[in-house]
Amino acid sequence: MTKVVEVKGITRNYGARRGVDTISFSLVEGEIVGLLGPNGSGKTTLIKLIMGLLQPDSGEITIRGLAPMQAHALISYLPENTYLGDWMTMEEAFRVFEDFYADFDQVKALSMLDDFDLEVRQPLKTMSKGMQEKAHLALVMSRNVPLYVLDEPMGGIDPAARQTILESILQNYNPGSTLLLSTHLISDVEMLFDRVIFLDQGYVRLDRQVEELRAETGKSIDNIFRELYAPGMRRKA
Amino acid sequence: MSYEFSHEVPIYLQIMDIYRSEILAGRLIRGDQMPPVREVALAYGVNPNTVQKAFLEMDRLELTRSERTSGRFVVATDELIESLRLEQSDKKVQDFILDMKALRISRQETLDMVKKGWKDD
Amino acid sequence: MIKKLIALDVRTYRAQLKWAIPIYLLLQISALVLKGLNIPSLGGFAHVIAIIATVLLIPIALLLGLINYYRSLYTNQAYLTHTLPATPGQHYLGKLFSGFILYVTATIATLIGVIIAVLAWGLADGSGFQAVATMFRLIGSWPDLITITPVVGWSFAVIIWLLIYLNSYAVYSFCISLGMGRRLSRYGVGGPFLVYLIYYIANQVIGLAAFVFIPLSLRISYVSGAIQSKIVTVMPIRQLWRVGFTDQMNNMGFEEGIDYLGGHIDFGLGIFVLMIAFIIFSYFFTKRQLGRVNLR
Repeated sequence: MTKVVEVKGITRNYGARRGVDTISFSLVEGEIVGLLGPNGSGKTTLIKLIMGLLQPDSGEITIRGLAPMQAHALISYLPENTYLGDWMTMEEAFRVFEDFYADFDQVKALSMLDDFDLEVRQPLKTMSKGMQEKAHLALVMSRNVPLYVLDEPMGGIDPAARQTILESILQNYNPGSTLLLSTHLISDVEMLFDRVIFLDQGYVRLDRQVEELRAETGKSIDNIFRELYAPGMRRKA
Repeated sequence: MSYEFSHEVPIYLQIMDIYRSEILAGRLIRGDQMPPVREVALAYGVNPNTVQKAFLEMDRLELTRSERTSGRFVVATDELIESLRLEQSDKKVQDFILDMKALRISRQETLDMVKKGWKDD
Repeated sequence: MIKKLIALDVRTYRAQLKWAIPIYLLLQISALVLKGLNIPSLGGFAHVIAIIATVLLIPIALLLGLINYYRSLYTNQAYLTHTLPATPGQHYLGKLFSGFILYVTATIATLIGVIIAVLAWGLADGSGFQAVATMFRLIGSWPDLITITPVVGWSFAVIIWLLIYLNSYAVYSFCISLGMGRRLSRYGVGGPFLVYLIYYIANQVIGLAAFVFIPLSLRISYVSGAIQSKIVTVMPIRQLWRVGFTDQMNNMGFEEGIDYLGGHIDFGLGIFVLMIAFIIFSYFFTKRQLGRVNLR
């Protein structure tokens, strides 16, 4: 299997506060990987390092052999926060994606907006937080890339709409592509994963295939998560 | 389609169960085409690789076979279906007997109840 | 790629300035009408407001460039900007050129504002377009005043105009990118301000040093009743001690003063050399900073 992402001993701290500590793993082609952990466990830090938005203290990350800053054409990234200028409409955002990404599929994006009941001409600043997140997801999932990195794609979305989001991720991601999805809402998405990486205070607690975990423990990933992070079970810092 | 998977059991086993039941019940017969992996994944809201794994497992059991160009077909022979049906019914009966024993119902009582409860339609 | 980056910035500016352009035009037109018709007090008021608006245009354009630089590279929008498939150099140059487009636009609007202000004046005192013609003649003749050819004079003016933009871009891109970098980003917007403060002090000190040590001057001399100017490779400091005797000079006429100074005054040009050096330094340094962002 071809490696798409290689993370080798990456460490990044914020002054005295730990971000991530000597993390290593690789993601192969076609994998859907859940990056799980409570808030502050290092999920977003790790994702920013993969995107080249943070620089590591030590260690190395490559995406198909390239440094993160050189690999942006290969990755479609949904950050934790919305990132389009608030003066933009979706039409304008389409133009940006069309301009910069040769792999952007506008037809796909339009049909996703339709699924989400969003208007192309509506300015972003008049949209609710949930609507903005959906709009961003439509853009990100409409690219045809080897790697999708989604940071909390369901953070601000109400439970009723989460299923729609999941379906559209499944429907639109390019089969054969790798998908890295961080979340703390595990029960909603655990059906999606091939593999889960549990982060805890900057360390990797567990990195396993989900079906193996289910077969071995007879428990859901959500339950395993709860037990792992129950008070008293946590690794001492 | 809505189907509640149990999150405690490997999903691919549950998908296999769904399609094996279809075959044993005769709703999918030899020569029928299996739905594409992606379609199944979307319908059940699960990872395509999981569906792929379930189908490969069914290929291994010779319930289905994947033709390189035209897709995946049900190829289960009557003998295979028969033996799987027996295997499955035997398992169900064993479970049933255990349940009855747990309720302290005797063998004769159970047989009578089955005779009484069995209605031909 | 740079073209696309510039186009995105220009569209951003256009959205931000959607209301500014009609408001500016309205100000100018009302000044022209009210002042031109000699409406008491209201005319003067409108005229002054329009002139203030005109004067502020270029500073506002520079400030807007700065804000756009910060917002697009270091706020939530940075998550889009820094994940576009563009190199740090392309980001740097893209922002440089899009800001320049804004600067050119502001300059043109300023010139129009000046013409309107003078025209309003002319209309008010009855000289009409004559006033504008006079202004053009005066402005057009400035190279003659210091006896340089118009080509040299106007090239010099354009270079100054370019340097104002390049230097301010070099300064704010440097301050923001260093201030939002690894070590200082924890202070938020305070980081860039801190860097600017240090830059400002360093710039003053080095500027003084340049005056003392860089042998490049604009020499203004007064020969047989005419002012002449040329660039010489002489340190301006040689004259400094004599300029110190200002009390004595105050009692002299211009001609006498020049004679007293040995027939010429040298103005140090070292500051321009420094400016260009900083612009070049900022390009390489800031580009490097943009290649290793730390968005927290």
